Amino acid sequence: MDIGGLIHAFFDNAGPGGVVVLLVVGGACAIYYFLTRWIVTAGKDNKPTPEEGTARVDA
Amino acid sequence: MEPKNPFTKAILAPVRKISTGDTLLWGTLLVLLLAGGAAWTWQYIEGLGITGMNRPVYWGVYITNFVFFIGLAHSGTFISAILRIAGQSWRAPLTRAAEAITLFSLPFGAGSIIIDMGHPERIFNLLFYGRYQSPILWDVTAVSLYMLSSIVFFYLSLIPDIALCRDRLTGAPRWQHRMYEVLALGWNHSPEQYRRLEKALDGMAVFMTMLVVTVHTVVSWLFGMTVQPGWHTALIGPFFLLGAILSGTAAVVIVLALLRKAYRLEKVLHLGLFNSLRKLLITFVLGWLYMMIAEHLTIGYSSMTEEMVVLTDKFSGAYAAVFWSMAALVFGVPLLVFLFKGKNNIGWMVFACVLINIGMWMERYIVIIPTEASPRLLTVMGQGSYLPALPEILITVACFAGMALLYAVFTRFFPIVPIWETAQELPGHAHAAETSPTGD
Repeated sequence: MDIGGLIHAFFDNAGPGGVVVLLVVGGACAIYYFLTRWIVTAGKDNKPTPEEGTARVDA
Repeated sequence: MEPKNPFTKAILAPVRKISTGDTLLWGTLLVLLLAGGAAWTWQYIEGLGITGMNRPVYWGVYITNFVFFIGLAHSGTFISAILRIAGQSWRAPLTRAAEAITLFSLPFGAGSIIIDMGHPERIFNLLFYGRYQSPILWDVTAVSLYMLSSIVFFYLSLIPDIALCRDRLTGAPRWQHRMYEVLALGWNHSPEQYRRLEKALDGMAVFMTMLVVTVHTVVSWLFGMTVQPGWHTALIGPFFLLGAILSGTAAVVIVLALLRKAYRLEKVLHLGLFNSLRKLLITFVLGWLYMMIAEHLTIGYSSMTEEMVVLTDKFSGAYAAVFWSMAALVFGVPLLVFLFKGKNNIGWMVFACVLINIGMWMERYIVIIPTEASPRLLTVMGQGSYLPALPEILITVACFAGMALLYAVFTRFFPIVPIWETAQELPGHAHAAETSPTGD
């Protein structure tokens, strides 16, 4: 495989540059989406159920 | 567990009311923005020929605005990311105000490039036919990623305070309350959420710091990678970066002083913050002077014919008045003010920071125009000249008005001082075991 030729083609041809921009921005969107989800879903499983909540108030 | 912050009520107070003054301010800014929109439409129909740009001055105030606004955008990243990494906890009350400058100046920076294209649809040429040899494509990649990352960085640290608005501002109009509900993403102030948020922000701070250096270096390479006199120097990257951090930090001082006065936030945005920023600004002004001397001395010492034409134009020729005014505005006057008048005096600080930003805009102008007017192939291209025309002036004013409008509207709907982050700096800490907010 001619890696040098590929690199040359990447820099010398019209088109691939735009693909790189889309890949970088698209990839960042995906990472940020999962990062945000990871943060906001934390601790949601630990929330007391309505029954537990009532029991604590009654106690 | 809501953050325990004694200033919660004061910070949320501006969110609760829109005054007549606000309506007037927003209306005025909107009119200026619309005037710029009309000028852009005029330019779209008639073409770039109605601007002051000509052969060989192909870049005018639009590119000046581009560099300036991208520079302003560095304020948020500097205050939030770099000072976060450095463990400077005093920065907490400033972070959101600084990040908002980033958020609202970036669209006008990136947008200036699109305005400069004449026809905005030409942006698709970059995507379909772009090749990575071109610094323009490096720039598009870096600025797009920076804009996206800044939005996420800003939004993540805003989520706990949006949740606070959702829980506290129950009397807000229905649509506004619904907006808080949606944007809070179900945030319930659990310690684990805060732990993960801190971890994510710490990680992003490192990434944002690398990005901020990359972005303005790549912006400078739009110029530096050409072989034009005055631009083709390895120093241009750090020179642009330092100028950007200087103007961004000066913009933070101006905005903080306005917010402090308009929203009566004297206790939160206290004098100590301004004194800390003053020390930083003294360092940046001196750093900028060092870069300025290093750049011009290196170029001037070579005595190369093309370089000397541009240098002479700046020092004693057609652009001398702009050049020396710029030097006085960015370095001379502000340094004297910071040293002898700025300590414990916000008014003087604001005065110096306004001068710095006017000077930095002129600096961007003086980097671009003299080189364009006297390019390397001077005998072929001919001596050029440039004066901005009416559409360029209207669009420039509209960019500043648009940024101010977005900022002003934002401060009336979201807390401009981060409640949870400032709470963390208080004794007893925000997310301690207590669940009852005693902030009021």
